[in-house]
Amino acid sequence: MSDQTASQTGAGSGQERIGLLRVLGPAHVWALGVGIVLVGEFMGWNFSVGKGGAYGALIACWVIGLLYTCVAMIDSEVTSTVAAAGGQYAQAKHIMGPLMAFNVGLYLVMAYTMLEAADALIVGDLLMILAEQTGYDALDPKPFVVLVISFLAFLNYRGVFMTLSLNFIITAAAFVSIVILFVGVQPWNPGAILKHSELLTDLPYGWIGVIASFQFGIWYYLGIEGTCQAAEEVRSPSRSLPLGTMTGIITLLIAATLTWYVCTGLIPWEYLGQATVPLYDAARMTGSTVLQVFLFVGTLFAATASANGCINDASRAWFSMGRDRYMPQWFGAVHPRYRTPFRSIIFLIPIAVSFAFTGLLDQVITFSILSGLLGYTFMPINMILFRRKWPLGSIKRGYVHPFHPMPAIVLMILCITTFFATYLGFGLQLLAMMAFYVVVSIWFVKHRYKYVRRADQFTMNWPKPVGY
Amino acid sequence: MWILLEYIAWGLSAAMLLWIVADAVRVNREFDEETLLSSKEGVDELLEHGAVNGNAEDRS
Repeated sequence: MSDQTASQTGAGSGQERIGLLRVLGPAHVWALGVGIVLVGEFMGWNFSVGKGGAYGALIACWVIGLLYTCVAMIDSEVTSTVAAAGGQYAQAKHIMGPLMAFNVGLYLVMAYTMLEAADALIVGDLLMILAEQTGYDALDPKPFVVLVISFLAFLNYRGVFMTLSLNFIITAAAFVSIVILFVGVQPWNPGAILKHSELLTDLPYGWIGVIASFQFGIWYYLGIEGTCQAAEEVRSPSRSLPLGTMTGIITLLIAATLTWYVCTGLIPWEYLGQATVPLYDAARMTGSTVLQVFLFVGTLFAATASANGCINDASRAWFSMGRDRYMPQWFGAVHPRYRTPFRSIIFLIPIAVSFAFTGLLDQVITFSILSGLLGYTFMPINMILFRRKWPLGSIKRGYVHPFHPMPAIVLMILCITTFFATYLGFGLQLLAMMAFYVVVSIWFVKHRYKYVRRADQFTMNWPKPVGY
Repeated sequence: MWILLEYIAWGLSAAMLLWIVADAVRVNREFDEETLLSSKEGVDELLEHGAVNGNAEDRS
C-alpha cells in the first residue's frame, strides 16, 4: 500500500515526493481569511466603544480597516509571487532573511494558536449561556472546548478541501446572520427600532480615547492575512490568492460597518463597551426570538470557523519552519494519503488546549493581537525591499498593487500608532511579548540556525536581487 | 441532559484524538522518513515561469 500511495503522489522527477494537495479555489481562500476574522464582528470590537465612544469606534473601524486594506494589498502582491506554505514566513525568508523569517513564523504560530484557543473558549462560554437559559447553571465548558479543538484538528488532519469547504459554509452563514439582523432592525425606518439620534454622543474621552480604541479595532479584521497560508494548496495561486484576499477584506469592511451601525443604534455606548457578545445582545434588544436564534448560531459558527482556519494556518506555518529546519525537520512531514502536515497539526493540539484551559480569554486574545501586530509591522519593510530587490518586470507577479509605496508607508504609520494605543492599555504584555521574541531570536542565532540547510531553503527560481 | 452532553463531548474528543494518534503511528511505520519529508516548497506554476528576464541564477 505504501508503495502505491507514494508513487501516486510522486513528483515524477525520479524521486518520489509527497507534497500538499493543490485543490483549493478562490472561495476557499475567502473562507480561510474571512472565517478566521468574522468572530471579531460578534465580539471584541465593542471594547473600542468603551475606549472612544460610538464615534470613536467607527473611526477605529475605518482607520484599522485602512491598515488591513494595506495588509491585503501588500500580501496579495508578495504572496502571488512567493506562493509557498508558511505565508509571511516564506515571504520574509526570501526577501529579508532567516532571522526575520524565524520571528515572523513564530508570530504566526503564536497568533493563530492563541486565537484558536480563544475561539474554543468562546464556544464553551456560549454553551454556558445556553445552559443557563435552559435552567442549568453549572455547565463545565472544558469538555466542549476540547471537543471543538479535537473535531477541527480531526477535520484538518483528514484533508484541506473538506476543512475549508466546511469553513466556507459556516462563514457564509455567520455573515448572512449579520445581514439578517441588519435587515431585521429596519435601517430604512430610523427611530422605529434603531435609536441613533438618542444614543450617539460626542467623543467621551476626546481624541486620546479614539487612539486608545485602535487596539480593539483590530478585532474587526485580525487574521485576514491568513489567506497566504493556503498558497501551496490553491490550484492557481496567482489568481486565487489576490481574489480571495481582496474579496475577503471587502466582506469584512461591509460586515464591520453593519455591525457598528446595528449595535450603536440599539445599545448605549456605556453598556456596549463592556458587552461579551454585542451582536447577540443587539438581537436580544430587538425582542425578536428569531433574530436571537440567528445571532446565537451565527456567533457559534463564527467562533468555530475561526478556530478551524487558525488550526489550518498555524500548522502550515509550523510545517514550513520544520521543512526548512528552522524547527526540527520532523514537523515537515506530509501525510501520504490526506496530504496534510499531520505532525504539525498533532503537535499544536495540546498547546491550544493548554492555552484554552487557562480560561484567560482577554490575555490570550491580547497576546494573539500583539503577535499579529508585530507581523504587520514587518510587512511594509518587506514590501519596500521586495520592490527594490526585484523591480517590476524582473520576476512574474500574479498581482501588482497600485500606488506603491503609499500602502507600505500608511501601513507603517498605522502600525506605530496602534502600538502606541496598545501600550496605553497593555504596556506590560507588550513589553513581555517583545522580550520573548528577543530571547528566542538569540536562541535561533546562537543554537538553531546551524541546523538549517542554507542553500535548500531558497527555492524560488528568481534572478539575483538588484545590488547583490 | 447537560451532564450527559458533557460526557458525550469527552467521549467524542477522546475517540477523535485516539484515531489521529493511531493513524499517525501507522503512517510512521508504513512509510520511510525520507518519503514523508520529501515535500518541497513552492508551486509548479510559478517555478516554471518564475524568471521573466534571462536565466534564473542559483541564489545559494
